[in-house]
Amino acid sequence: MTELAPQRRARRPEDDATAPFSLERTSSRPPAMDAPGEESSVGGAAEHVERSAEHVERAVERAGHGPHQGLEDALDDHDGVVHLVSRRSDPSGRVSLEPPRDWAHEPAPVEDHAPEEPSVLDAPPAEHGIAGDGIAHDETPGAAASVDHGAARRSEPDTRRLDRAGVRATRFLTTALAVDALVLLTLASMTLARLRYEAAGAPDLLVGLVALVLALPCLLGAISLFRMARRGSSATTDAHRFAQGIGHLRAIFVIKATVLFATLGLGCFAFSLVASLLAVL
Amino acid sequence: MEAALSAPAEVSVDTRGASLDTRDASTRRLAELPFDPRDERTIDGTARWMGMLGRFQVLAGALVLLVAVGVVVAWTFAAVTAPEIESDTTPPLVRLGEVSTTQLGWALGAVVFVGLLVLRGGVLLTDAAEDLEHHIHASDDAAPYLEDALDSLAKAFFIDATLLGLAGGALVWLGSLS
Repeated sequence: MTELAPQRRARRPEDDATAPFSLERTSSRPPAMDAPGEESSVGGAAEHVERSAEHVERAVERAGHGPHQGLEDALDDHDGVVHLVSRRSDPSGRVSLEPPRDWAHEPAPVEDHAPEEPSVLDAPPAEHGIAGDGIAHDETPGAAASVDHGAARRSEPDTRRLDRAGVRATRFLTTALAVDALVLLTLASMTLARLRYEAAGAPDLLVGLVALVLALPCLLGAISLFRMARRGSSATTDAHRFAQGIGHLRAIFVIKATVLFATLGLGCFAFSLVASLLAVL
Repeated sequence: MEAALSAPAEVSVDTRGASLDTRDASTRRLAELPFDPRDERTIDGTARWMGMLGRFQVLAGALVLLVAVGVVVAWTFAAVTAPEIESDTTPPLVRLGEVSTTQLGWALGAVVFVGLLVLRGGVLLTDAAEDLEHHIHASDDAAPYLEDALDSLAKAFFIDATLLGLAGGALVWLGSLS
């Protein structure tokens, strides 16, 4: 039987269908929830809802790709405790918001019209998962499923090694980056060594500094990719190191693209200037 | 379905036309790395700058080749229609001095070589950027976009190292001349 490789995170239609949930990203409990008798009060809930709305708006603005992307980014970017505030609509169209249950340290009220669903909160804490991070899920089966597929994906610690093609490609890039950094460092040392004997001018100093600046991201990227290609790391760590290594290269591309753009622009400007002068003369 | 899930090896479909390959279940592909959105944004931003630099390099390489071709055409035209007697009223714009045809040929060959390297590096960078962006934005896991991107990127960096080595050699040579 043919089994496809596990799918990467992708937008699914069922995600959008069950998307209307809110996010609360905070590391402290609201003051209104501290007193056990007030946690169900209207004032505390209203304050909590206001803070939730602010956090959600911030997440949406930060993501800049629409509300679903913003919410998912906020969900994935959690550093501390991420809380979901379930938002449910009743048949009359009214939307009710309730604070997460783990703040009150008491079980959720059992509703008469809805059967009790096992919550992710009841699951044991996972290594990298959301299940152990204190997320209160909506009791509706659709919403639980929509959040659950991401939580289940993260809750499984993937300690598999990279396959041979991945290791080969990573080591190839690591070698290329190391060679490039070596050449850049040699160039920088050559030009800067001439400064010691006072035989270098401003262009040599500029070339040496630029080579030194370009060599540093190369070295950092090579180190990150080398650490990733080594065995024994989890998939999350490997992914972070890979992104870190690729991210180090951005400085190189920015500097080179800027310099090349300026060179091309100045060259074309000088060419057109000379051509027009020659045409006039 | 349960039997398939508990199988020790999994089979992936190569959408680029390759045949089915059987992989060890204890290994994972680069495409299966679980990037979080922050990592994806980092890779996406790098890919954009990479693609921009690649396109600039393609332009620069094409410009260098165009200049080299123009010089060759002008040289050939001047050799065919060379005036025996230099006019006093219209002196030549450029004087090469004591340069032989062989030296000019070597110089033109070096320029064309550098232009081709720059052009090839730009194409590789553009390819790598497109593969990275496709990996980030597409939901298809089967195609080895990430491996191809790393391969193209490594080749581009090797070309970059070659160009830098040539530049360093030229600096040393010019320094020894002066």
